Amino acid sequence: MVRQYVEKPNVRFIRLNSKNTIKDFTCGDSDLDDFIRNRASEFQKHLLSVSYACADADTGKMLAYCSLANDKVAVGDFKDKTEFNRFRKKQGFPNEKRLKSYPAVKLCRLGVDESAKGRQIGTTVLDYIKSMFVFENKTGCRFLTVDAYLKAVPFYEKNGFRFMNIEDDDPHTRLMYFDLMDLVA
Amino acid sequence: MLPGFTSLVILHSYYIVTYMKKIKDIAMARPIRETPILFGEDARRFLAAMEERRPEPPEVRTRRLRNYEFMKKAYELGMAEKRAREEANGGIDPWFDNT
Repeated sequence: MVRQYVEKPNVRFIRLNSKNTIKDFTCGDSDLDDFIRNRASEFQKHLLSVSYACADADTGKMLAYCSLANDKVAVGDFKDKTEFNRFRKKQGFPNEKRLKSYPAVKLCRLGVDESAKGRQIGTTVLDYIKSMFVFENKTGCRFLTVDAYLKAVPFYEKNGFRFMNIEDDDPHTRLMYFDLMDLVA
Repeated sequence: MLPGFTSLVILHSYYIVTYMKKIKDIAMARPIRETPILFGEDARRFLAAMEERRPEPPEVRTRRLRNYEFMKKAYELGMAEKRAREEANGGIDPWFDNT
């Protein structure tokens, strides 16, 4: 368990900078591996996301990583997207009565290395992110959003995430969200 | 003449392979879908869910808070050690493949 690691304390959680890249990481998903190996530093450099790594304190081996970016959830007082687009074309951007948005943070990527699977590291990192945006956040943030891989959907459901759309037929992912107000209820 | 030509062909092939690998790498990552604007039934359901509170079960809350404290400590230690490694190695952290 990751707790045992921390208590020893054998785990370190690090904010990566744009110069740090990780080559020795395999979580079994080529997209997630590719992102941390080749792309995370560019995203960081252009201030598009911030990546954090969970590493073994003794060896420096990366056990997990996650990337975060600002997001928002917007809700429109329209029947559907067509009506929204028609309105926008005719009258410009809708006023706040017809379009409300709520601040959110997007969990862009979350991957756990093959060598660390089954140690609850994913849940531990997710618990930290949730709590961080309630206790330490310097700006308002109501939701945690994620574009979850189909095989990761049960993991997010187990961790309290809900589906954003009733009908989401994307072949690879599902859009989900977590209401941080559930933690302060 | 021929060895020169051969090495030119080999060099050319090397660049083509490297370039193709780079293209493959760029095309590899699937973009993350943007959070959409919610309309109609999706919007109604979302707003209703916002009103509804789903407090965590006590054991989940305990686990989350414990994990938060552990990770907070791991972060403080991790960043302090990272800074120390960088200072000792001229700004480079040997834990990473520094670019």
